[in-house]
Amino acid sequence: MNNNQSNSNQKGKQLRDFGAAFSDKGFRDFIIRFLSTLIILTLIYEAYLWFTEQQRELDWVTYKVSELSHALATALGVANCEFSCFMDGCRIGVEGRMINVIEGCNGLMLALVYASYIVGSGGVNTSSLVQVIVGIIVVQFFNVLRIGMLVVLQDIGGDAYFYFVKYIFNALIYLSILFLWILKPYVDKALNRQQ
Amino acid sequence: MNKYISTSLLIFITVFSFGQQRMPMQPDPMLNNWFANKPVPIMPMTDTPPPPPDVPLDGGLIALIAAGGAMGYKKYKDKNVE
Repeated sequence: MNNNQSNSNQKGKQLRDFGAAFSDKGFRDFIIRFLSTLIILTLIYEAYLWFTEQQRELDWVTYKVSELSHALATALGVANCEFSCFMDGCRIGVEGRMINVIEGCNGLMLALVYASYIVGSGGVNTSSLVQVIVGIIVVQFFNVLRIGMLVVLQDIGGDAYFYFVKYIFNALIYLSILFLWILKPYVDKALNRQQ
Repeated sequence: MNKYISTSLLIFITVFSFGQQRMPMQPDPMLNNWFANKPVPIMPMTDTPPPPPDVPLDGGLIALIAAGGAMGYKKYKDKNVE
């Protein structure tokens, strides 16, 4: 009984803290900047996707990610690795064991969330710009590595492909973004020291 | 006499019941003719393989946004403690 009461008191305190945090100007500004940047970037990206759809073309990011993943899979030793792109995505792999890289696989939405946090946290300045560029490169590097490895695993066969596609690679990319967010104050300090 | 009648009835019923079981297997002659049969369209054999699997990445976007908000909240809290 006492435990339940203390738990509910703790939850109430956390909610009050969160409410108090919103009344603080710094946190409120962060949330507003974070969400508004995310909404603006998403709208621009959606507009670009709509434009490419009207042109009956595949978007450039998905194409480039697929092309690099194909090159990586070939370099990793997948023989007869084929690569063909359509309006809805690209197919990579050996005939009969291909994977489909669609717009949701290109990792750009993750990069946009990452960039929104950086802008929300630090505002628009040189340090944020450098971190956004480096972050997008890191996310896309892991994404190309993920798709290239998936092509290899699909070629090898077995259950490993399922676990890698479902858990391991996704966790790796999400953790890399969290790690970059944790590093942000240190990167800020280092960049400000140089300036 | 009753014995013959009952045996004949039993045989009749048995044969009738077998006949009843066999009936649905055979098409009705009234419907099985050139006029009654409707043409069945010839469908091409579809042996196209299923499309390759997608490898989506944006399944945890909401969680990532929430994590961003939580990190911002933690940063605010740490600043207030200092």
